[in-house]
Amino acid sequence: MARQARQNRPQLVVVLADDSGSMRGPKAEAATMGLREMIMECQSRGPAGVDRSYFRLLLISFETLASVVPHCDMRPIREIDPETIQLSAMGGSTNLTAALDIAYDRLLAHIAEIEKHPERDRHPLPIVLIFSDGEHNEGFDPRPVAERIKALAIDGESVVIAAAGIGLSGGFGEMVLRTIASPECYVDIRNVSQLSAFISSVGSSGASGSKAVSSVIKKLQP
Amino acid sequence: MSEGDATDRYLARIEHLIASLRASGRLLVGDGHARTEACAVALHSSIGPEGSEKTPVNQDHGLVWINDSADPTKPTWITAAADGLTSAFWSERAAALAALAAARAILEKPGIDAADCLDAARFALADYLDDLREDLDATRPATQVPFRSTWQYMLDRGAILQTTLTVAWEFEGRLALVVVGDGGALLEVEGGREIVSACDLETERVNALNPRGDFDDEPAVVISRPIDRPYRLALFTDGIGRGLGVDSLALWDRLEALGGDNPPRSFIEAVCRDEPQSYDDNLTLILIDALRPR
Repeated sequence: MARQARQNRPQLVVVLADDSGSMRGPKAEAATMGLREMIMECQSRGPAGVDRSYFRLLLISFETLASVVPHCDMRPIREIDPETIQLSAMGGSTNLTAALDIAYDRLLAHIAEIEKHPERDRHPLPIVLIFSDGEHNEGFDPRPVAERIKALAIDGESVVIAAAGIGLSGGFGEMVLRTIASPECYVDIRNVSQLSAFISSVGSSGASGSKAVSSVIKKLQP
Repeated sequence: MSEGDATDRYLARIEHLIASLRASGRLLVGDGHARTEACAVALHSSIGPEGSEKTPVNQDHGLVWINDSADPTKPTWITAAADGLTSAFWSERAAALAALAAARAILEKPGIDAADCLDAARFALADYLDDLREDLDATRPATQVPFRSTWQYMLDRGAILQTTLTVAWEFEGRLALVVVGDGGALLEVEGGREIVSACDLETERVNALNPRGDFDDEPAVVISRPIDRPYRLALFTDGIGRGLGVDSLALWDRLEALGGDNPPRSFIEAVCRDEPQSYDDNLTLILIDALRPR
């Protein structure tokens, strides 16, 4: 039986958004648009009713530090006004680890909830999206905590990290993000419209598990 | 236009379509059974097992129209089963509009091909969507979609009014059938049983008719072939298909064992009672029993 989001078993979408200074301009605008579209698409899923969200959103922005966007802290998607989402990219370095640490803490608790859920075998797994245009240059190595996230599992099915490297072709930054990503869940972003599409398509896909997520990502490849 | 007006306009369309179908034959919608000299038909559509986490309304729509005057210029019967996508808004309205509009298009032109039939259904969705687009702010159903940007997005991108559609009819000794999405269809003729359309048990992603025409809504199955009576045809939505699993042809034996005037209703009541986990969805089953010519 496939894992599917329903109002009583919504999928948790975790987005780790690079809000460092290098994202300023078209990249931050494209990411903002992608996040808004993702929310609107997720809100349109499921039967009518504000209280019938099929998704919950945890949005973490990171630069030198990381923080949870206050009104997007595991909140039902239909309670979030898409217009309030705005990446500012005002400055700072790139600390992937800080964002992943927060995500791991929240996911640990969320997985424990799913373990006890009466429809655990059909509950969708959370999906983690991360996008960045820079090399991790602040804090500890992000890869160990990424491995811990990917080790979180329900009935042998692991949490998936989908990663997008923005203009990182061939560099160390790409290598790190590729390692962070689950198998076949890394995408090389070469223009801003691809970034919007990655966020909106993968985040609203409802895909559960690496095979389903990689299938969505493959459709994004030029 | 208020939300109430939007609903009123939907209901007016439905009533008009139903009236036009009833003007020239007998129409069963959602539940019932009937018999003519040419066929015995039965259908039942249900929200699904009690207590399951479902939409508050049945997003399936099933209908059968029968030619009760034996008019040779009209089809012997027409049937449609539609499953409004849970992943899109107001899908139950899409299911009803598409099924009824397709049936009316067939009634008006029994030799219609699959593409034109689907166009008629698609147009019914697009026409209603155009109505909704008028006076966008006033139309926005604030109690259901709280944010203007989301409502605008749904109208612009077509994340609204999406449905699978399976339509079949018999005219001048030919059986025609078209399937968009994952509706199931089984055929039993003398000497054989055939899965005409199988539900995809592996994926949640299905093709669907939609008002904008910018999604993948190509039909999965298109059939038009001579057919000899007697034969039986069963159509069903994916809730039945997933419950049946790979051995869907076993449905024939189960229906025969149940018997009665309305085997689809008996079947759905039985699975809701005895197998609620397997049939945890909206459920629609239609049975056409084309009788041996006298």
